[in-house]
Amino acid sequence: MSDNTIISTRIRLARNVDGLPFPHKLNELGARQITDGVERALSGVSRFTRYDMNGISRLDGTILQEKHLISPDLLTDSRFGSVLIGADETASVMVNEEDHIREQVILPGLSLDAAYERIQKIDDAIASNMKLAFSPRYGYLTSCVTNLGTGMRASVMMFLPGLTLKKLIDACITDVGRLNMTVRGVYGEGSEAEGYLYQISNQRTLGVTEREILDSVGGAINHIVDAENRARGLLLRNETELKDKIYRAYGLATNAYKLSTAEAMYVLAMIRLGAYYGYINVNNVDALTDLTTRCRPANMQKLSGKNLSIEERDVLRAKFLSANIKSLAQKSE
Amino acid sequence: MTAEVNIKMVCTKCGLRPATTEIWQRYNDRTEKMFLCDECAKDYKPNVGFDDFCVLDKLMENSPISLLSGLSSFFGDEKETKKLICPNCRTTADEFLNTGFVGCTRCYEVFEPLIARTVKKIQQSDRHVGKKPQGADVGGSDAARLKEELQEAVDSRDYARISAISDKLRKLEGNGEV
Repeated sequence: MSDNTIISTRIRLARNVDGLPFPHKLNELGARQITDGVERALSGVSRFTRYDMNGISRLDGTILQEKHLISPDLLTDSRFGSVLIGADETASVMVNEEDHIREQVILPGLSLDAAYERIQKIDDAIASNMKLAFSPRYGYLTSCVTNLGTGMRASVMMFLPGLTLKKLIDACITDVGRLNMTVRGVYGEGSEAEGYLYQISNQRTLGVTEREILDSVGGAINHIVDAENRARGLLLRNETELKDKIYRAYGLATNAYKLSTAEAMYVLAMIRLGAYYGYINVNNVDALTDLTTRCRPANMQKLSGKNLSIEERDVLRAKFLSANIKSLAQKSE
Repeated sequence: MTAEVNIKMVCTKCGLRPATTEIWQRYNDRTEKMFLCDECAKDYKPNVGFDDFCVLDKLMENSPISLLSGLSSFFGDEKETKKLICPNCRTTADEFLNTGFVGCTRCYEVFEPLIARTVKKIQQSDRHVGKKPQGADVGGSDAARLKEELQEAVDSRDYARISAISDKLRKLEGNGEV
């Protein structure tokens, strides 16, 4: 389960098949060979469903992207891209994106070890079915040298309204950069990050063990959590203002007639922050995270089952959010 | 500082032959750019001074990919290396230096000198210490790695390290692993 600050943990491993050109130089036959090989390997792990990017609608592809199961690049740039998605949507394997194989596991909260354990099963199954490109010196060979070695990126999605509102986020990004970590806005950059959502991940992939990466990311996260808690304390200096902002956001979420994606991100963030201070009782914080995804444009479109104009989508979003927030969150006074 | 030129233009020095190399020369607070042909570039004597390193510092602050394109300028004297093309996937050295991407596993052998340096700059290491794939042919890699490390230690005359690595190698040999 996620807490108020740490939303989810994601680990990805970049792998390539030995003897075949990397995706941007690969032909259709080679691409199919890899996709089929990965599908066979995963059938021994658990049930995975395959989606070929050439075979699904743009809307369905965007929904997968909004759920963070595929990257925007797989959807728009890959020529023969596919993805295999596990039944509970925590594990997915992208094929023929930047590398032949990109394994990924996403778990709620801070779950670096658990996510790594799960991805190991997928990785071992793939390695025992396909010969992976590996050199003793550079480790797993990848199409870009920034991923060499472990091919591992461990990232944690964090909710950082305190640091953002107190304008401390840029300093935090610089600090964390010194620890060889990268901070990116999940939707937008820096203080413009929608919903105050950020992704913190390791920069180095070579010359460090998987254990060291997990530990260093974990250490950076603790550091950021401390800083965020302090910043949330600073926000209390003007409690009336803060409380008013949060209640107004609650009012919008439950009463607005139309809401844009950005507004929905904002009100959901303020409700989450309200839960932290005890101004709003939230039954289930994970459901709030889930709403953040379900309010994204393609997910809204899918919910309606028909083509909507932006305005119609905003009206539907307000109705959808109002019903959900009323059952999920109540003002504590 | 020199870098390969991708667009077609005439050499700014002789005005005759097509320019193949871009030269940046920094003088105090300004940077001058020249586009030279192969012949004139050969005769060009760079005025390397402190300011050139200021430019390097700026490049280092950039993203890994910009860093790579920046580094391409430091291989200007290695014309032979820059002409390399991977026989397997036809990726050129320029393609690698400009994008950071290689086309296949063979590229790692073909562009080894370029890759070794860029990798070390970006990753602060050029040696994998993590997981190895199950069933991969990595036998003897420990010994191979130690031998490479030994060579580095010999080159840098690090006698303590030479002795430590030699001990490890002897142990491996004792176990019949070499």
